This record gives sequence, structure tokens and C-alpha cells, in this order.
Amino acid sequence: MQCSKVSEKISAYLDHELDFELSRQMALHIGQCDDCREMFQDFQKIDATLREMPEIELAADFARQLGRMVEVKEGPATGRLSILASLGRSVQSFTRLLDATRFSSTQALDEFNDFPPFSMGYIYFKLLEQSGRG
Amino acid sequence: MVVRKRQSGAAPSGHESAPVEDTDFDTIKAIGRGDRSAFELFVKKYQNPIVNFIFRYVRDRFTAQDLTQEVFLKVFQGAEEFEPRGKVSTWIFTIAFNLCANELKRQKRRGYPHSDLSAVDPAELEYPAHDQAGGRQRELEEDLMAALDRLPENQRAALWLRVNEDLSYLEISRVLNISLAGVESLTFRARKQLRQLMRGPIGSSP
Repeated sequence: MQCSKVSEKISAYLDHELDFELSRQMALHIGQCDDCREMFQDFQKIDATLREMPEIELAADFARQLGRMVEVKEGPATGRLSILASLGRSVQSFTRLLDATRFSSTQALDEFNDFPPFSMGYIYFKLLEQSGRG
Repeated sequence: MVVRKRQSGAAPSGHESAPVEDTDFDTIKAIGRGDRSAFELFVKKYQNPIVNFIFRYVRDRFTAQDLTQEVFLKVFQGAEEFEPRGKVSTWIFTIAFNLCANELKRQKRRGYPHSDLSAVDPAELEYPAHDQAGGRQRELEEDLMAALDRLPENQRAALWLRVNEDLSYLEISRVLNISLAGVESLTFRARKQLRQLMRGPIGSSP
């Protein structure tokens, strides 16, 4: 086998991902070729160092916290009921948004006055402005 | 959140060439029925492999923690519909990988350069007291960590899953949604580039 072909397969050889015959040829070549053997050994050292690298460890009660979180999220309403509850919350938010027209001024929101013309935001605040004047 | 070496191989292992008896299937079924204690056990089993995979991918410990939480919430939500086509570990790493990829896309859109994120400063890591040989090992780890950070994300992910989580190329191909040849190429290029980035043969320094 040629070194160029062997070097391309060294990684897969190290990972035991080659078939039996190719692995046998690789082992033979690596045993005889200093350059390829050096590459193989360097790859082994990289792997060993990677396995030894310090790792993050989460808080001991991480699992319990998540357990509580899913319990709260699920709550007593599951399945269709939870979908209805979400829908209800969305409708409530939307009606609150429409209700904003009762405010006479949009002064506090003027700092966001960078909506592109004819975007939904631009039209919304224009309407709000008019209803404020009216 | 602390940083230390993993004591045991908590990572899932095994290749998929033979039919796999995956004990996690039962756990996922239980989670699908809303069993909270099964969910907590599952989280405990996978939390460290997942947070470290994500951390190596996004290179920010706080983002890693948030995304890990998101991964498990998705597991909880998706457990009922889970179909055992592959291993559970492959499924959960796929969720993690997709969340990471989305997060990086989001960061790129917002113009966050990766290097500005609070990647772990080696000085922050809690290394045990060491002798001279331990000092060299630490230097090597720091060099490797810096070199790893400079790899393209997919190379980093593929190599990490292979070396630290013992996933087969087939499993990695499912996680990353690429071909087997693609996985082989990514892991080879990752190792080759790490070798070059670490300037010369590894461990040859005095």
C-alpha cells in the first residue's frame, strides 16, 4: 500500500471502522513505515489526551430541577387540555394587544420608531397614533 | 457548574452493526407515560455526556447548560412519539446537535464571533495538584483544547462523539445527518489538523 492511501485511512483504522482485509494491510504497512507509524501514534495520543480533558459537570440536583420543571410545565392539564390552555393564553395576549388602542399616546414606544414602511409594526403604530388623536 | 475529569465512562457505547438491546427504550417508554422518576434517572445518565458534547460544540459553558436543559425537555416532549429505529443515545445526541447548530446559526446572524464567547479559560479549570509530568500533561491538554477550538464545528463534533462518547461512524452519520464517508473524512481531517495545530509530533516536547 502507498503511504498517501494509508495516511487517509489511519483515522478509520484507529476507530476500527475498516474491514478485516484492509485492517490487515494497514497493520502491515504501519509496522514497516516510520512516517505512517508516527502519524498513527500521534493520533492515538490525541485521542488519549481528548479523553483526559477536563469536563463540565452539572449541579448534582440538575435532574431533580428538570423533573420539577416538567411537572410544572405539564401541570394537571395534559393533552388536549394543555393545548386549550395555551390557546386561551394566546387569545388573552392578543386581546390585550388590541386593547392598547385605548391609550392616547404611543410616546413610550416612539423609541422603536424604526419599522420599515408598510410593515405590520409600522401600520399598527400608525393606527394607534390616529386613534390616539381621535 | 464545575469542571473536572469524568470519572467513569458514563457515555453510551456500542456499535450498531448487530441488533442492539437498548435498555433505554424502556426508560423512554416510561417517560412517554409521564413517569417523572424515569425522566430524572435518564437525565442523570446522560447529562454529563450531553453537556460536554454541547460545550465542545458551542464553546460556552452557560449556553451549554441552557441547551442541555432544552435537550432534556425535548426528550420529555418527544418520548411518547419516540420510535426505536436507532439507539436512544443516537436520538438524544441528534437533538443536542440540532440545537447546537441552530444556536450557532442564531449567533452568527447576530454577529457574535465565537472567540468572544466565554469559552473556558484554562486557568479556571480545577486541575488537581500535579507533579512535573502532570504539568506537561496539563500543557498538552491546554494546547489540545486551544487546537480543538480552532477546528470547524462539524469536525469537532464528529471527533468528540467518536473519541469521548464512543459512537460508531454509523451513529455519528445519523447524528450529523451526513454519509459514512463524510464521517470518516471529518474525523480524519480533525485529527490531522489537531496534529498540525499542536506543532509537530504530540508529546515530543521535553
